[in-house]
Amino acid sequence: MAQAKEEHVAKLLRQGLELYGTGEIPRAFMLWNEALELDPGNEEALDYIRDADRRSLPRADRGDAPSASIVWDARRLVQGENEEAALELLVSAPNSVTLECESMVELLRAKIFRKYKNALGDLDKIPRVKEDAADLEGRNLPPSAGFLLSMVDGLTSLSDLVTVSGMDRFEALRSLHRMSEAGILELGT
Amino acid sequence: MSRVIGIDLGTTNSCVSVVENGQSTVIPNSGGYKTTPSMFGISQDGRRLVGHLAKRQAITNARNTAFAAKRLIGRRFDDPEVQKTIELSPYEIVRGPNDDPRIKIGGKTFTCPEIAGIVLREMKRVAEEYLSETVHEAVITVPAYFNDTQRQCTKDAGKIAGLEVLRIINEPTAAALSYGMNREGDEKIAVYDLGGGTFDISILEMSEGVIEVLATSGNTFLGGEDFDRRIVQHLIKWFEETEGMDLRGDTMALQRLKDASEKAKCDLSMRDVVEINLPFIASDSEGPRHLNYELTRESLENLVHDVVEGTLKSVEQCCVDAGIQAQDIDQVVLVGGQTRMPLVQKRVAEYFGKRPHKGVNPDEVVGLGAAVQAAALLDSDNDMLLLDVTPLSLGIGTYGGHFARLIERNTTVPVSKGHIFTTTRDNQSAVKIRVLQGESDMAAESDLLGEFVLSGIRPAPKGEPEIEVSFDIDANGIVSVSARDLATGKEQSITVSSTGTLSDTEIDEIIQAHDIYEVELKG
Repeated sequence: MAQAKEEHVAKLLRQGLELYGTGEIPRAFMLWNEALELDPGNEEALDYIRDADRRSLPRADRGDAPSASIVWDARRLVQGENEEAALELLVSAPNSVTLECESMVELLRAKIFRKYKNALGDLDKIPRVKEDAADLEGRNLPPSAGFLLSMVDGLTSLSDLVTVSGMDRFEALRSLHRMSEAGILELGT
Repeated sequence: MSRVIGIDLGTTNSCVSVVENGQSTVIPNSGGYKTTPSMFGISQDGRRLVGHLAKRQAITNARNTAFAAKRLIGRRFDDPEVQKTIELSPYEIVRGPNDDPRIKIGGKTFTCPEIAGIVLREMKRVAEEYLSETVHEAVITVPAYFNDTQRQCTKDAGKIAGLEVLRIINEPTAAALSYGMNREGDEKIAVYDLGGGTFDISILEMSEGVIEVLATSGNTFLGGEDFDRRIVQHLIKWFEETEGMDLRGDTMALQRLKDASEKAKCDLSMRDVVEINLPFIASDSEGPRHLNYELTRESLENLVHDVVEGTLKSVEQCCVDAGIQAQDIDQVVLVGGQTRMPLVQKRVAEYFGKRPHKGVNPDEVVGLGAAVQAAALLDSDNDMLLLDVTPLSLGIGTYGGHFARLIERNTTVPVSKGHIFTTTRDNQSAVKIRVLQGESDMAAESDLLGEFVLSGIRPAPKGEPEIEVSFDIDANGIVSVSARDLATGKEQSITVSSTGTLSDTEIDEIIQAHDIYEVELKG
């Protein structure tokens, strides 16, 4: 088992290097970060990330202490399985536009997206609004949630709602997931 | 034997019908709707959407949602109608290689018959689901003023959808048919058609099974959506005044306002007051803002009064063109969902001095008429005789820029007519036949349907050769023209397909391209 994990980490590191060589830097960071998650503290992965971040960051605040500490804090949140908070921290922090941050954001979005999908189940399910208008208005929802709710008609599937909303897929699914968790929406067939 | 469906291919919505057990029925789609938005869009993740789903992204993804392609079909790119559509449309319209307007969405360019074909294919699918059998043939309706090219393009759209179009019939004619009006002796009928995006008024004369369109008028940029737009503007202004927030730049809010306004407008045809509730329409540092507004029928009528009066100006013009007075009309037929509005019914009744004919759903009346015609085509025992007429005069361009009419407008079709022409120069060996359509005496002011050259004419002094030009118009209004040198017997002919139409090869390519995609429509 340990050997299989080791091999997988090595493969991720190698694939990351290949991507880095072809200029697909954010994807390379994604794989190295994934390797770090499987093997926290892996020196090779940390070296690649530090080195690449130093060399290829025209738009980054290199050597910026807040940026480095934000990444560190985000990693700790991920280790504590609080991925949403880690994402929130990375996207809302100023001076955080390093490639390492960017790749971590991408990785987290992909992971959280999968989590939402798993929680919601089959995206062909049809959402229905459970609460009446008066109860709904007492909640504190953003306009994007109100927009999605306005399209819930008992006929349109989750997948179609995400498509026709024109919203970023991640944002749309997050909003639907949160409303389902909060008991605003119920999912049926 | 498979059944023939009738399709009302509308500017804003389409409707499919069939005759079952002697009764014409509108076929609902899987969502239960009897009409389907004539819209095609490509979502941001590349999915192809038709109908209600496409409509839902019409504002949030406006650049990639095509609507009202019927305004463009069969026209040239430089046509003023096309230029006006370009000004008003959020999606891109580009000049095609045939000098036709093409719609660019989702990074791909579509011809107008292709967009119409996608909508027709969806109507075919709706019918097939309902009938549990494959459908191959259809009757499709078009506006009475559609010229030959526009009719030919509509037939092409049918072919792209996998349908053989047995007959193209005029929309007002279909409306009259669904009332069974062709059997009631001589009558003059006004068909007032206020749809989602266009307004048409037609005056028909029925006599012994022949339906003649005496005159048509209207506005291709006026319809129910103007009513919705007035409500949206009213709500935006009210929200700005009460909450201090401007919703004009917020596409999500605009999409919700548009949907809610359309619904409120429909509800106000049955009720005196409606509540418009749009929770979480906006937010600021103090939290979410809701839009809650009571709209009365009276306020709606004040908002749109001038739009309704605008339609009556076209009605007046139509009566003048038909050479009749309003009181000469025997029946008034209302078509299009917007005619459910009490103010519209009241003003039309006041204008004609009689109540409009009731009994058929105005959204469905044209589609039902198409189904009646479809059933009649299949039934050899059916004694119903429907004869339509040419909407515009046909002829050829002659020396000096004149237009020589061979077939006058309102001639009953099918029809064949010929005339002898001659050369204008000594030893002229070829003549160019320019096929024109329109009511002007000048060629330049008429629509050019197509042109071809008859060569190999025997050398002779001018005025001596005899060239017989023959026109054939079939029951769909599709024109074929031939020219023959009577001395040599040399002949050239064309089925008119002017620059705006597609070649058979182009149509086949489009059909193959579309077979790859599964077009989606739900609810």
